[in-house]
Order: sequence, then C-alpha cells, then structure tokens
Amino acid sequence: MKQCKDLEPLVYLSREGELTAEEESLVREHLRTCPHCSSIRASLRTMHNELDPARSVPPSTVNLAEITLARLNGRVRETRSWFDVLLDSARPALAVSVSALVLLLVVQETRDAMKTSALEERLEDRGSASRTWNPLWTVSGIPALQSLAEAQRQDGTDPRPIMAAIGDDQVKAITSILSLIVGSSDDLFVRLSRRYPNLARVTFEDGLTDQERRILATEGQMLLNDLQNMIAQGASQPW
Amino acid sequence: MVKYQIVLILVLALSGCLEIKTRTTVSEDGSSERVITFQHPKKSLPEAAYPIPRDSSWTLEWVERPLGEGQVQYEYIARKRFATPEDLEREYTSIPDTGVLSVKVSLSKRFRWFYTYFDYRESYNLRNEFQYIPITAVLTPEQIRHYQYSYAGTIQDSILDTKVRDWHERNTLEDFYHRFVRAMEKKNHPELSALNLNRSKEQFFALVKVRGEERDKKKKGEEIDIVQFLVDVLEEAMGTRAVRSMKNEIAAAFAEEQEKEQRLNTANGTYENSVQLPGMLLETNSNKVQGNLVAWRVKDDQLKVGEFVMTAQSRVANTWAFVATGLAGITVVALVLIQTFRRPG
Repeated sequence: MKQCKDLEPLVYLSREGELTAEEESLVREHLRTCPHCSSIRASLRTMHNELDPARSVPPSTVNLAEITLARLNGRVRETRSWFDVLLDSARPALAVSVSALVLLLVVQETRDAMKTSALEERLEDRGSASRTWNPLWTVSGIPALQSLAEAQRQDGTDPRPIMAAIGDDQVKAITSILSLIVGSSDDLFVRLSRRYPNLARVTFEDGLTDQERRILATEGQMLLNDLQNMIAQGASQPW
Repeated sequence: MVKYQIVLILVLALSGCLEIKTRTTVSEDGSSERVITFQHPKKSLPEAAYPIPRDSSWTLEWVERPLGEGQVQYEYIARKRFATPEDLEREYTSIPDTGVLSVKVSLSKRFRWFYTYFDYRESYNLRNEFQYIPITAVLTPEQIRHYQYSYAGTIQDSILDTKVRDWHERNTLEDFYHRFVRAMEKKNHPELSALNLNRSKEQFFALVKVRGEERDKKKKGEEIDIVQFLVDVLEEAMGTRAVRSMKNEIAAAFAEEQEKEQRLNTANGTYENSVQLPGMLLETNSNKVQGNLVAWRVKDDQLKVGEFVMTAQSRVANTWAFVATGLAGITVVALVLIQTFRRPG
C-alpha cells in the first residue's frame, strides 16, 4: 500500500502525459496489480471523455443503455430548440408591432381629441363672439343722419317717421337705420354699443329667441327713439 | 337707399337671384351622392354663374311646387352618384369654366390603420373684374375673414355689407372712368388733358351720386338716358364742353361696363352648401355643425371679396383593426407565458 500511496499522484499525472518514460513504466506495472489505482485511472478516463466529447470512447466500451439514453436526449433537445427559435423570433417582432400600433393609437387619439375640442371651442366662441360689439366697426353716423334728415326736409316730409317708412318690422328698421349711418370719421357706433350693450347680442339669421325679442323691445326701441330725436333735432349726440 | 342709386343707374339688367343648394353625402366606402337644387319661376334653366348640371350623367328633374293662388314655382333637382372620391373631383375639373364662378371639389380618403380619415374641400372662386381698388383698402383682413366665414346677419354684419357694396360701387365707377380716360387719350383733345381728367375724377364720382339722386327724384319711373346723363356729369366735373364730342366713346365705355356687370350678376344669389361626412367630425371652418353634417351659406357679395373655401374632416373607426391589434397583443402575452413555462428549471 506504501507503494500505492507513492504512485497514486503519478496515476493522475499519467493522464496528462506529464510523466517520464521510466515513471510511466512504473505506473503501468503498478496498475496491473493494484485494483484501487486501476479504478482511479478508469474514473479519470470517464471524466475526461465527458469533458471532451471529441475524444469520447468508442461505442464498444460504453454501456448500450447510456448510448440509447444519450440519443433520446439529443432528439428531445433538437425539437425544443426549433420551437424556441420560433418563439424567440416571433415574440419580439409581434411585441414591436403591437407597441407601434398602440403608440399610433395614442397619437391619433390625442391629435383628434385636440381637433374636436378646438372645433367645439370655436363653435362656442362663435356663439359669444358674434354677440359682442367689435370696435373695428366704427361708424360715422352724424353727417349721414343729418344729410338724411335734410334730404327729407327738402322733400317736404317730416324726418321723424322715417322708421315707419321702412316698415313695421322693428328688426329691419334697426338694421336699415344703422346701415344708413355708415361713414368713416366718427365713432357713433362705438358710443351706441356702449349705450346698448345687449342689442349686439341679437342675431337675425335663425329667427329671434324670446330673450332677443325682449332686448329689441327695450333697447331696440330706445335706440330708435334716440335716432329719431337726432334726426329731428339735428343733434350730434342724443344723450 | 340713396347710396345704391349709382349702381342702379349703371346697372340696368339685373339677373334674378337664385338660391342654389348643394348637398353632398359621403359614404364610408368613399362613394358619394351630390344633389343640387334651386327654385325657379320658369321650367327652364337660368343663366347662372354656378355650374348647373345639364348632362345625362346626372338624374335631372323638375318638381312643381304650388305657391297658392294659382301660382307655381319649379324646383330643379340634379342628382348624381360618384363611386370614388376621385370621380367627384373629376366631375368638377371636367366642367367647363363658366368664366365667372369656378367651383372645385376635392375629397380624399386616407387609411391610417385604426381610423380612416375623410378630407373634404370645396371652393367657390368668383372672378370679380372690378378690382381697381382692392378690398383690403376698405376692410381689414380680420373683417374680410369675419364677413366671409362668420356672417350671422347681425347689425355689425350689415355695416360690413354696406362697406362692401360701397366698395363695389366705387370700383364700378373707377372702371368706367378708366375706360373713359383711355378713350380721351386716344382722341388727344387739347381741352381734355390727362392732368385735367385726374383732377376732376373725385368730383365726377361725387357728382354722379348727387345728380343721380336729383334726377331720380324729378323723373320717378321715367327711363333715364344714362349715356346723356354721364356726358352731362362729366362736362360739369371737367368744366368743358369738349366732353360732348366724346358721347360715342362714353356710350362704348358704358356698354362695356354694363357687359362686365351683367356677367358678374349671373352669380347673384345665395349658395347653401352642405356635406355629410361618415363617422365623427374632427374639424371644419363652418359655423353650422350638426353631428357630422356641416353647412355653409354664402351670398354673392361675400364671394366678391375673395375665394370662399369650405373644409371639413372626419374619421371612421376600423373595428377590425382594433380586433386585430388586440389579438396580436394577446398572442404576445401568450408566447411570453409559454416560453416561461417551457424553460427547464
């Protein structure tokens, strides 16, 4: 055993080809007689073959059951890898496509929501914007009214019933009168707008609401009276 | 009423005002139906600047509308179906230009996976030959925009109406005066120099108005010899009898003027255009919106100040695209789960 103990390290080294010819001969001689070292040598060979398949042992030296098992394992491994390849390639492509589509949906929804809200806002604003006086439309009324009154005096007609001549329709009367006083150098219209702020809320296009009728009956009538007085008196300001 | 006297003097033949209604209904597949209607006292097509369909590719019919007391009005209805947006567009590019009002329609259908977008654009472009003074000299860009697209019949709108009419009157007179000046230059009369003509221009414009009013009061209902009237006013404005020798030239200038005005008057009337787009309405420059129905109403005066453009956009949801995307999402999740469970260990 003493010799066995001395030679055991050489058994390990012999697999690596590290021994001299003399040492190799000693080890070979010892392996013939020592079952312990022979089993170490066999274990080393098996381990080495497993680590390096290229240098695997010939089939004749391997257990048939192990070969069958190894082949079955190999087949199983081949089937799994094909499926895995499919999964690995399809999954990212699908994931990217779905993400891009979700992003597209978000962009479309956001942009369209902005458009519809802008439209709604504009339609609401339009309702109020058209109902407020715009200082852009400054009008000179005084000279036009005076010349109108003068023309009527020359005709020998009383300028006061001018509104009656236009017609019974109060709305048309107001519109016509104000259309007539269009000019260029005075701000009568601005002053009228301050005096009758609600009158500008009246729109004629889609008929009159009850509130619009009330405004015309009050402020509209007051405006007509003012204009009549202006024509009759030739005054530049009725108030 | 006095203000419009000048136009009444210069323009003798006024065309009747038509109210032309156009309705375009667009379907989800991009096909469309266009219906054009107007009322007319006679069962005959009027001379109108708007391209009224007359050919056999349209379904044309006259419908009698009783007005009461034995009177009837005729409604003209023209209807046509267009299989694709391009067909509709082609219909209006193939219509010969009437020379006064040009109508252009475009409709596009854009597929964008989840939604299909429909873009509609129609424009009316009136060729106004009276452009000596640009409209921008009378109205600001904001006022022009308001006048064209936000007209609501308010008091301030009526003021803009008056300004536009005044502008047109002035342009009509300017046009006549320039023709007269060109005739004078050809004649090369010593008393009718260019300097003298330019000096008396404003006076001529003022006198046309004043003398027109006076004449109208004195000779109510009588027919006016307009050429003689213009000779008298020009003589007074320029202070020379030499104008009398130009009566033929003045008559020719006035005749040309009248011809132009008559051409423009064929566009007189109101145009109501509406379009029904499929799906949800996203944007439009119209102020009249009801669901996915959009309407515009414009009158000839509003067209005189510039091109009138009508736009609208809508979208239709593609349900199958939502389903397909949902299924694809579920598949991704399923694949991740399958791979996780199949992994050894």
